[in-house]
Parts: sequence; structure tokens; C-alpha cells
Amino acid sequence: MNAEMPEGYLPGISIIESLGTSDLTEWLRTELAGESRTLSGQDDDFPVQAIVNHFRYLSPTAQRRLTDAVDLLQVSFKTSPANWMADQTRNLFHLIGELPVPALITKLQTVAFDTELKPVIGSSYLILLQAIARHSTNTDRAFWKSLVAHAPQYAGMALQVLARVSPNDVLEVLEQLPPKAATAATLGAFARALPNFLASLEDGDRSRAISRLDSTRRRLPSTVSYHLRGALAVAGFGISAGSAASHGDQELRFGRHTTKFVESFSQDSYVSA
Amino acid sequence: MPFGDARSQLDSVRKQHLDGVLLAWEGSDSLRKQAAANLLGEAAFENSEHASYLASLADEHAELRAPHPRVLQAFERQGKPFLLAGAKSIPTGGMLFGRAILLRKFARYLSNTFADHPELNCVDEYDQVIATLRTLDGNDATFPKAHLRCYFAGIRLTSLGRGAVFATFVTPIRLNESPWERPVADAHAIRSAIALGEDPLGEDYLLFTYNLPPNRFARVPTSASPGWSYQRWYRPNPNAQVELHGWTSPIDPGHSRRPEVVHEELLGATVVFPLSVALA
Repeated sequence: MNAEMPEGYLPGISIIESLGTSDLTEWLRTELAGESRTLSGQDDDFPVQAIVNHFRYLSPTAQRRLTDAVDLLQVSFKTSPANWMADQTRNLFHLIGELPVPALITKLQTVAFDTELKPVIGSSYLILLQAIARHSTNTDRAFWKSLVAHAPQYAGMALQVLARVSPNDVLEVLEQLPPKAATAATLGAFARALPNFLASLEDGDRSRAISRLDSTRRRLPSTVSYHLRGALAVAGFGISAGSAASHGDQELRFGRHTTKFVESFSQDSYVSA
Repeated sequence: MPFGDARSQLDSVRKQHLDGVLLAWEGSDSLRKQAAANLLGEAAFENSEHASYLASLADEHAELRAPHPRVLQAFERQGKPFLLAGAKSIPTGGMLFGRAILLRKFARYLSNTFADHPELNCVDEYDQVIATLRTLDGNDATFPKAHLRCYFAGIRLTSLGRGAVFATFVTPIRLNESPWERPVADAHAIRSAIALGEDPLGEDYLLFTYNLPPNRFARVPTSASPGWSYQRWYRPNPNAQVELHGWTSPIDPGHSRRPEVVHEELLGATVVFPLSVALA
């Protein structure tokens, strides 16, 4: 037994290790439906957290069988969605996001763009996108760029992923947001990702990015641009109060020395926006 | 009602079955041994439901003797009606309770809230949910930054636990005092002090502070409350009838035990911000 493994995991580990892919698939289908609890944990661990907790202590062979089972279940959902309960589907998407199954990404992307499946997925569409996002790399940028047009209400997540995997694309997509996607929700999502995005850039690239962000901000309706302005302030890149109050062409200030000013700006203008 | 008194209320057949189960468990693995010890040491019940619980366990004696996981399922099925059957606990008006939840797990439940409440306008990727929750450490909700508002609103709509929800508090009881000190202890200390032994090591915790709504009662936890796998970490409080609460049994003896109660599931509507994050 792994020295760090809680003793209580052992029975569950033994069960998973003993099952072949076919039996494991059925076991997993039942667990995801919440109809059986063979693993260890608190009530609110079930089913996804409990599976994730045990997964790391499985042998490589059992881990592969379990990820194969996840793959078979996503095929099952895709071909017979009516056989899946809403919570079970959501739990499957959560689990795909947690396990190392990047090979599923392409398959899930087709699920996301399937017009017949989308109504079946319903509110779990957000969780499906989260699963795709967790395994996305630069090679998936086309999916996220097209999502902005395909499902504009999720453009915020597309911007977050692009900010991480394709910094060049994120600014371009932001500058060309279709009206349906240029919402407070989209800009709010980007604002939350902005500190990490800016921190990931080299100094010169960061200055250029901020300049482009400020230009974009000025083109957006004020009902949504306040998110961007505020996020820049929180990230330490403020806009002078005087010019902000009286001119459209604001002066950007960079660096930590503006922190105090930025905090004041945030309290006065941004928070009440 | 102490376990012995409850046992004595069983008819002879059930009593024999129950004794058989306990005897088998005492010679078995550590989880069964602890479950037997917990049942024998149980002294917190003051109602006849405890006798019903014991009777239901005795009725299932054959199944309870079977290997895991049927034991788990049987034990938890029998215990479900009695999760909150312990004695009424300390008065809760004006008290602040605390609960530690794995940050990654709560991020998943908060994502579900965002999915079910599109009016919150939050469509973050999972890693961003985790990152944003970390930034809420010490962040007051009185004047939230615009891009964080959906998080404060979402937390208020998200459940703080399932089944019998265990909560800690400050003793001696002081009204409006948070159970979490600052600077915040690290995740290892929290996991140990709250006895969250089935949680994986090395993960961050979100520390919630909240009030219990007036229509909710705190109860003394009993051996039915923690479920099967947490029997290993549960210890009945022999002084529960006087103290009106239980105590955690820290995993690492270097950490102090904490008082604990259980209550029904509830949403985070009464969460008192700021949250704290205990880092791994």
C-alpha cells in the first residue's frame, strides 16, 4: 500500500483493480448515477471526488482501464443520450475534466457542436466545456475561437482558455467580439483571467497587450467595458482619475507604484459601476 | 441513551444478532473494530431512535458480516434515517460555525451552481473557478469588485455539504466569534484537527464561517452520523450529555481536538465572508 494512501481507500482500490474494462464500465456507470457507493469518503464526495481520490493510487494498468471505461461511457452517452440521467451526464463530464484523458478532447468537441445533443445536455453544457478546457492546448484554439460565434454566451470561457493557450489569439478575439458575445458576463470572465494572462507575458508584450486592451475597452459599450477597466486596475495597470473623468483618451499607468491610486480608483469608480 | 441500555431494549433474537456482529467486527479489520467500539461507546442518544438503529443493524446482521462494500452499503442504508437523531446540541443563536471543504471539490459544486443559474453570468473554466476561489481569501463581500460578484452570489446558492453536515465552533462559546483563526493554519493542520482522514493529502481547503438559520438545529453527532468510512475517524463523546456536542479526534496528536456538531444540509445563504483558504 502506498504510504500516503488513506487505509480506507484499500477496499475500493481492490474492487477497481479486480474489474476488467467491461465490468469497470458498468461499475462506473452505476457510480456516476449515484446508485452505488463502493468507495470511501464523505457524502458530498460522491461520486466524482471519491473516484478522483482513489484514482491516483491505482496501478497504471487499472488507471488505463478506468480511462478506457470513461471513453466507452462518453460514446454511450453520444449514441444513446436518452439512457443517461442529467446528474449522471454531468458527473461524467466532471470526471472527464479530472482524469488524464486528453485523447477525449476531440470527441468531446464534436459533442459540444452537435446541435441534437446540445438540448439534451442542457445546463450541463458549461460542465462539458469545462472538461474540454481542462485538457485544451494550443492545438485546440480553433475550437475555442469558433465557440465564440457558435455559443456566444460561453465566450468568456473561450477567452479564458485562449488567454492560457494562445495569447496572440485572445486579443484578436476580444477585439472582434460579435455583439452577442460582448456582454458583461464575457468581459467579467476575461477580467478574472487577466492578472494571470498579463503575468504570463514578457514586459514588451505586456505593454502592447495593455495598449490593445485599452483600445478595445474604449470601443466597447460602457455597460460592459467597466469590467475590463476594473480588471486592469486590479492587475496593477490603472487609468488616471482626472483623464478618466473628463476625457475619452485615458492615460495608462504601469507598475506597482500605482497600487494605491488603483485601489482608490477601484473603490470609487469600478465597484459602483 | 447509552448503547448498553439501547441494546437491552432489543428482543433476545436481535440482541444475539447484534452481539454476533460486534464480536465479528472486534476480531476484524481496523474499520470494523472502530465501528464496534463506536457503537459500544455510544452514550449520546437520548431518544428511543437509537434502539431502532441498533435493531435495524441487528436485522441486517448477515449482510453486515459480509465483505466490503456490502457492509458499507448496509451500514449506511441502516444509518440514513438516524444521521441527525442525536440529542439536541448547544443553543445556536448568534453562534458562528465553521466547515472545511476541499477547495477543488467545492469548485466543482460551485460550477454546478453556475451551470444551474445562468442569471449569475459566470461561465468560468474549472481552473479559473479554483484560482478565483483562492483570491477570495480575506476578500470582504461588502463592496465586491464587479467581476467577483457572481462568486459571492454563487457561494450563497451552493450547498455546504450533504447528509449529516459536520461543523465546528469555538469553545468556550463566544457569540459571533469565527472558528477560524488568522493567520490561517495550513491544510495539513486543518485536515488533522477536523479529522478529515478520507480526504487526500496535499490539497487546499476552503474554510467557511456561517450562521445556522433559526429553523435549523445542531445535534450531537452519533455513530450513525459519519457513515461507514468515517467510522475510522469518529469517536463518541462520553460527556456529550453534559457538553452537548462531540469532539473531533485529530489524526496527528500534535493538533488540538475541536468541538463538533451536525446539522441538516443547507445552502451557503448564511455564509459570513470573508472566506479563508488553508493552503497545502
